Amino acid sequence: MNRGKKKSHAKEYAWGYAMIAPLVLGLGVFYFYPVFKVFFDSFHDVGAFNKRKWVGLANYQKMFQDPVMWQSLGNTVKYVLIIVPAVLIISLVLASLLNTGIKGRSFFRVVYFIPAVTMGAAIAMIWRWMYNGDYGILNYILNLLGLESVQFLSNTKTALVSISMVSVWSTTGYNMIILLAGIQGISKSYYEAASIDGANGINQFRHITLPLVTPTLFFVMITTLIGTFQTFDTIYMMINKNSIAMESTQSMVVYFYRNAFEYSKKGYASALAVFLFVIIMVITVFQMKMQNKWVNYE
Amino acid sequence: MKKKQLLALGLAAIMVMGSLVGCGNSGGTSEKESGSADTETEDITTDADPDENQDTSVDEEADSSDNETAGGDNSISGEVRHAFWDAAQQSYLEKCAEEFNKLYPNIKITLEPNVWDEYWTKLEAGATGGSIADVFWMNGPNITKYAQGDILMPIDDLLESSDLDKSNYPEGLVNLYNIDGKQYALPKDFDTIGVWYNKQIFDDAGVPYPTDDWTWEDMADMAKQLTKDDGSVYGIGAPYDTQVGIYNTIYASGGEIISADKKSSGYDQPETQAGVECWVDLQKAGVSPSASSLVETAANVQFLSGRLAMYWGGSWFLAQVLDSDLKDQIDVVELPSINGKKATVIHGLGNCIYKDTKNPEAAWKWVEFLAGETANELSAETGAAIPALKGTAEGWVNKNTNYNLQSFIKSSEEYSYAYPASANTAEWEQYQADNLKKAFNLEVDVKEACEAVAEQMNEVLANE
Repeated sequence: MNRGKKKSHAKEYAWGYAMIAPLVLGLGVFYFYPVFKVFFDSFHDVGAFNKRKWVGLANYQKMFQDPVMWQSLGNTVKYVLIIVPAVLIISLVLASLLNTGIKGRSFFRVVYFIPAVTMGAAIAMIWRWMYNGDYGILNYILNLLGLESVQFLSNTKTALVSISMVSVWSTTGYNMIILLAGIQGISKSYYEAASIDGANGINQFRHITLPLVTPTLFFVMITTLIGTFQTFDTIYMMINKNSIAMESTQSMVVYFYRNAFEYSKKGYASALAVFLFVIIMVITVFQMKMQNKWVNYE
Repeated sequence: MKKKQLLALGLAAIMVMGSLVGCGNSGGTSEKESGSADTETEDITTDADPDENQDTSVDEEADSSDNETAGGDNSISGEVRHAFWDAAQQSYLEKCAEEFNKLYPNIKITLEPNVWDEYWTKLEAGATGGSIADVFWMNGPNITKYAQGDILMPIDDLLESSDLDKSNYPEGLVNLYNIDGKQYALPKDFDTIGVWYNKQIFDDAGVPYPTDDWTWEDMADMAKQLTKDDGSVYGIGAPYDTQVGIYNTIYASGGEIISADKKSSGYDQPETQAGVECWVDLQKAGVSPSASSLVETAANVQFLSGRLAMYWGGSWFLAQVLDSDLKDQIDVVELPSINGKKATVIHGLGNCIYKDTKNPEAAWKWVEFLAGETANELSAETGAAIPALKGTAEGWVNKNTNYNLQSFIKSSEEYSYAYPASANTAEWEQYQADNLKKAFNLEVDVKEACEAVAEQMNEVLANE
């Protein structure tokens, strides 16, 4: 009897493993293997066509003395500080507005979600033209208003913010949908009780919606944060490598890419990737620890 | 409570993974896209052709004695993938493939167009992973790296047994593709640099057209007269550029980019710095759009939209001119002399073969065909590039008599300098760009920028 049970369990396990095998294999080949490879490469000097030479910790030593690396890390932190709060606030506000009974809300839900289903590269191309210093539509509008043209993407003071705005614009819709789902999961009875007690919309939002949506908010925050730390495509597409604004806009991942593929220093690039991985890991663990302080699980 | 929290954490972790996998997927699809781009790439044996081939092969099976009457060599077969980057040469390559298939009906040529910005990244990845095209365009800055990296098939023996003769191609360019005593390609074309100008803008401003014997001072002076105060027209485009910019003026000023033994940078020499300075002076004089404007909208685009009166461009720019609305008001002139000296960079592409190609014989037949007379004449005819084979360049000049194209041939014969290159050209060119762009944006002094280049470049060269 017992044995039979065990056997059927074993069979069940086999089935289970078979079911998850495709995903696990995919992750293994495309994630775990490259992760170890990058770690391995970071201790090597990797030349053209992947010829390796052991150099120990030299790449790491060089990295910590590299001012451009620190600047890129600083840029990345700036992106995070601009993009993450902006995305969280805007998507939360939009989600709560679209949760009310306003007219045409399905239309607006679709409109806000469209950037999420559009290719990042296409978005960057369009914005690059809108931002163009000579022919862009934004400058056309500025000129109509009698203002001077701004070279949004070439001016070292405006380029980083301009790129951040595109990121915010393109990621808000996706996060809004997630938050909307979170808000809709809140039991109606709380709101009914609150309105009987005479709470208005703003009070309801502050004391019911906001606390009860924190688990979703937490998820959105972590994913946006990780995504922003890994910002690459918008910058790569919008900033020409000979642009004067390159140094003041490149993120860690862009700097990694340039080292790997433009300066042919794949070993050094791997060290950068490992460093970024450690940073993201530490921040995520910290957030996981901090969640008890502000995330409410019903 | 605790359980839910764990669940949420797990969910978050899964979603993070999911987003990562999402990334991976998008990477995958982009690869797929490029894969489908491959299949979409003009399949030269057009839809009708395979059917025809099938028909003939059926016929041939019916009476096999007729095998050779089809007119081509059927004995060699296979697919040859050909990677290149210049969209303007697509139709030339298509025509070549068409002619080639008349000779070798069983070799299928698949063209793989790329964007210049991604070509080398993709090629290196392909070479490392083994998925590289069978035949691909090569240039001067990269040939040493690929030859020493053991990616290319030497063609010395193949040349011996072929009708092609090395002496029929410009010597400097043949030597460009000879690394450590082995020949890896024959030049398919060559290009030199000239100044393209918009006659309409000159007429409007009442400035006489430039002539082949002009000087740099003449040019700067004209640029000043042609520039309009409201920013709608600039006299010239002065972007940071190498082959169509500073390299020419550095040689004309008597400097060098890299020493003859390829061991040291020339950027610490005052002559080299003077060759950079003259461009930055144009920026300072305000006769060109700012360097960053020229990064956001490239000089050739601004020139063809009528914003620039003069534009330094290669002979390959002709294809874009012919395609543009302004083609009737554009002409070209030799580069101006600096202190009485003229110089232009000469460069030419070669078709290289991947050493581990599956169809070496078919790949060589294709490369051989491209180096031959028919392909060179087709190149002249389509105006794609100046063909390298002796005697065919005139066809390119005569094809478009509206332009002073003879100037490119003349400069190639009289004062051309080979494109400067070493094993890690792409690397030090990037350092060169990183530093000099600051000088072009008037943020640092030319001398300071050049010395920074010299230092970083020497470091790269020391490791070669």
